[in-house]
Amino acid sequence: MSNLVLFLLLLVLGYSFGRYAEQRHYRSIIRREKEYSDVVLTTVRRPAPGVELTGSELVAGSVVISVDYFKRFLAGLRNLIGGRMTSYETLLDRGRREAILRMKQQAKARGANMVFNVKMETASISKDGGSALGSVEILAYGTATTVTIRE
Amino acid sequence: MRYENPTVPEGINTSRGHPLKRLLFLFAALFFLLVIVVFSLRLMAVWAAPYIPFAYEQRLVGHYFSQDKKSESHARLLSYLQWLAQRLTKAANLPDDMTVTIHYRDEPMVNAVAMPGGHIVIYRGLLERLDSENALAMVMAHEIAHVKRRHPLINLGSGVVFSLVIAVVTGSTGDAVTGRIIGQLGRIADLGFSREQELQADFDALYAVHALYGHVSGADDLYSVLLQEAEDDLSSRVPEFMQTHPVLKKRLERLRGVIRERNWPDDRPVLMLPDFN
Repeated sequence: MSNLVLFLLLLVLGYSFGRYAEQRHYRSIIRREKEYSDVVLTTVRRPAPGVELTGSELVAGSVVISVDYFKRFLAGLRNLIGGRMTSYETLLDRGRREAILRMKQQAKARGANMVFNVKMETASISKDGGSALGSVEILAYGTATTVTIRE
Repeated sequence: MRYENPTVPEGINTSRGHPLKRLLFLFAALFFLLVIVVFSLRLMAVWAAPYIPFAYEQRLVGHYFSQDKKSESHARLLSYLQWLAQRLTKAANLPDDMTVTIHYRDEPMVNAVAMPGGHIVIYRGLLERLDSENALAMVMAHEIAHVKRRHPLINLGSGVVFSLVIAVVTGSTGDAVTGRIIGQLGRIADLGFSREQELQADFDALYAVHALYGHVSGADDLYSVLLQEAEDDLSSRVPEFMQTHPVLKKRLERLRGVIRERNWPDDRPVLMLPDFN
C-alpha cells in the first residue's frame, strides 16, 4: 500500500512539475524565437553566387533535458502497446528548439546574421541507466557568418 | 538570392491531446489485455489441474511442512483438529488419494489457509474467535473444499506463469516501475477468480457441515462476528475489487440464502470446543 502511495505521489509530482516546467519553457522558446528571428539558419553548406560573407566561425548550442516521472511512466505503458510516444514528442521538440536558440544566441553575440551548414545531433545520456530517469542531450551546430547580399 | 526562416506554426512536431487522457486510455487498454492473459491462464490451469496427480502436489511442498514444531498442548489440539478434519473429509467426499494435514500456528492472525498438497494451516487468532465446533467445522470444511477443487494448485500454477509473463514482457522494455504496476493490475484482474473460489468453497463447506451434523447451526458464526468487527473498523473498508475475498456481507447473505432454500435446520444446539489451555 505504501508503495502505491509513493508511486502515485511521484506520478502527481512528475505530472504537475513537468507540465508547469514545460509550459514555461514553451513560452520562453516562443518569445526568444521572435527575438532571434534576425539570425537566419540554413542547412546549405555553401552560399549562393553573389552572396558576400564576412568571417566564419563555428557556433554550437547544446541542451540537456530530463524526462519527468509521469512522462516516463506513460512511455513505459506505451512501450507495451505500441504507437506514437507522444509523451516524448514535446520533450524532444523543446530540446531541438532550445539548442537552436542557444546556437543563434551565440551567433548573434558574435555579430553574425546567418548560420550555414546547420546540423543537429541527439544523444541519450542514461542509455543503460536501468530504472533511472532518462535524459537527452541535443546539440545544434553550424558556421556563423555575416552575409551581405548584392542585388 | 534571399535567405529567410518564416515562422512555423506550433504543434507540427507534437501531438494534441491531454496527457491524463492518454494515461487513462493506456491503463484501460493494458487492463483489458491483462484480463485476457489472466483469464486464459486461469482456464489453462483449471483444465490442467485434474491431470496432475495429488501425489505430485504433495511432493512439491513436502519439505516445507516436514519440520513442524509441536508442544504438548499443541499436540492435543492438533490431534483434535486432525480428527475433525478426518470426519469432514468423509462428509465432503474427498477422493481417496487426497489427504488433508492440519497445521497449527501460534499467531494472532484470524485466518486459515489451504496450501498445495492438502496442507491446511489454522491460526490461533481464528480459534480464539470461534465459539463452537460447528463454526470451526465450517471454516475447516471451507479449506477442505479448496483442497478438493485443487484451488491452491490452480492459483500456484497460474500465478507462476503470470509472473513469468510479466518478467518477460517488462524485461524486454527494461522498466521496473511499469512491471510492478502491471503486476498489480494483473493481480486485481485475478482477484475476481479468487473471490469466485471463495464462494464455491463456502457452498461446498455448507454442504459438508450439513452432511456431518445434519444441521447448519453455528455455521455462519465466524462471518457474523467478522462482519460486526469490520463494521466497527472503518479503516478496513477496501473496495471489493481489490480484495481476495468477497465482502463478508455478500458471503453471509449467500449462505443464508442456501440455508433458507434447502430448509436446513439452523436452530439446533451447537457443540462446544474442547479446552486446550
